[in-house]
Amino acid sequence: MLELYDISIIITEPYFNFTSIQESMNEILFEEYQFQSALRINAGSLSAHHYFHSKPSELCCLVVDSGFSFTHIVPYCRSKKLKEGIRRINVGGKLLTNHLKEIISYRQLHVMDETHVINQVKEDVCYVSQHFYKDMEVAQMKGEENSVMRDYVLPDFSSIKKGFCKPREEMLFSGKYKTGEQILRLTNERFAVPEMLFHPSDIGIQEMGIPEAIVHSIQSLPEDMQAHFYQNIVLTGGNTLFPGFRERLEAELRSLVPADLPVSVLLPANPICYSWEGGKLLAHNPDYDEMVVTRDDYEENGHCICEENFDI
Amino acid sequence: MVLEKKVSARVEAGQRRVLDEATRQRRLTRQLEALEKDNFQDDPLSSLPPPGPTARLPAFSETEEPEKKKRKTRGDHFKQRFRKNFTTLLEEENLSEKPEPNYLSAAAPPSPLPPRHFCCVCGFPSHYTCTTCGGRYCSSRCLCTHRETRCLKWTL
Repeated sequence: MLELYDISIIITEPYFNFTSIQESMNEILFEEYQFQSALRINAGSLSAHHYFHSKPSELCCLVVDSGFSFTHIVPYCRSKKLKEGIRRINVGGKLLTNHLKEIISYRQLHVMDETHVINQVKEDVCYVSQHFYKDMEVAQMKGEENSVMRDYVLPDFSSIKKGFCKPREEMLFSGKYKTGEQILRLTNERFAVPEMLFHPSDIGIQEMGIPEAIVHSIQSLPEDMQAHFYQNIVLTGGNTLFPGFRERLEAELRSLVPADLPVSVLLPANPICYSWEGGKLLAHNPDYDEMVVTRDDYEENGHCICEENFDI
Repeated sequence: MVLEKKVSARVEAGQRRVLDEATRQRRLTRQLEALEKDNFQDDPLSSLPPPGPTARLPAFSETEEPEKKKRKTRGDHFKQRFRKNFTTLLEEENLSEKPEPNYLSAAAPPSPLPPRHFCCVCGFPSHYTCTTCGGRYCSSRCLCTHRETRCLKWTL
């Protein structure tokens, strides 16, 4: 049995989290679980810490955290986030999966109740296209010339436990499959769904996509720092795992950014765990004990000490 | 061989109701809000063993049952007690009185580039607009499908 009484916890929160939720978190951590000490911090701050730890010569970095609920673009200078440069795009994995469910339900098979199955489809089959209109043309072709089309075998939970994408050699381009499996035929959905990260206006969301928001964010910062931010862009979060994401982002930024500024985008080996590993490094940091709020501090001073110490 | 007569998509003027801009905007907002909904559904894949080397670790089957029951009742309990949804919390924050930058100011502004339009039936780039509801389509066949299935099927 783990004794939480002596344990310190680092827990992440979204940027600009509401005060009421922050206070509820304090209550849960200290009154219900009674941790010895706690640090509430933004996930991107942990990613930035990890980045500066791996590249000690750099002073500035831009963390792009594209997760389930939304995407945040946050500039960090000397381990402190620059609040005026934070941009939030309300497009995340949830929106992508919901949209994919809707279009599959309309075009092929009713899957509105199968969120997890379609989430798996999205992760297995979707990719970010490098040439959007060219891929659109290829996807419209018939037969074997259509290199974009894939067939996805849906699970039936008796013989097929988990869905999978049929390899191209086994695909039948004309006629029906003889086996009784349920198949989804995906063409333009494969790259149109992740395209929403780059152009939310595709479905009507009036917001900039990730490349434009990065440029907008960096342009709001002092001019002498801008070049440093363009060279240290870090991608974190599950949505960055789409094949082709990093290359497309770099190409789009290259066309938006002035030609004399070099652009460098880093996709770490494990974007989902990058901030967790940053938290691990932070816990071993000698300054850690000054950053946390202990249970005794909270019992004495209440929420205000958390508000002062934690910069959410 | 009987040649099927191509169904004309043109209709008599006055026979179809044309939605005005406000209704079209309301429909669009409705669709976008539907995209934001959380789906609290059970994960059918969760009972599968995870892939990779951890699959060989012994499963803690004895402690799983009471934990599952506890989690279910806890979730329902929370949902009934804390019925405030996101918009309520946002209003309570009273962000207009707080200094910038805050949650609202961090939202990305609209893109200066024009939006791209896609056929609501097949998803390929579209060039035409349905006169009644404003949905985009790419070809007359998609227009027929759209008229039969989705156009004005649920009215606001």
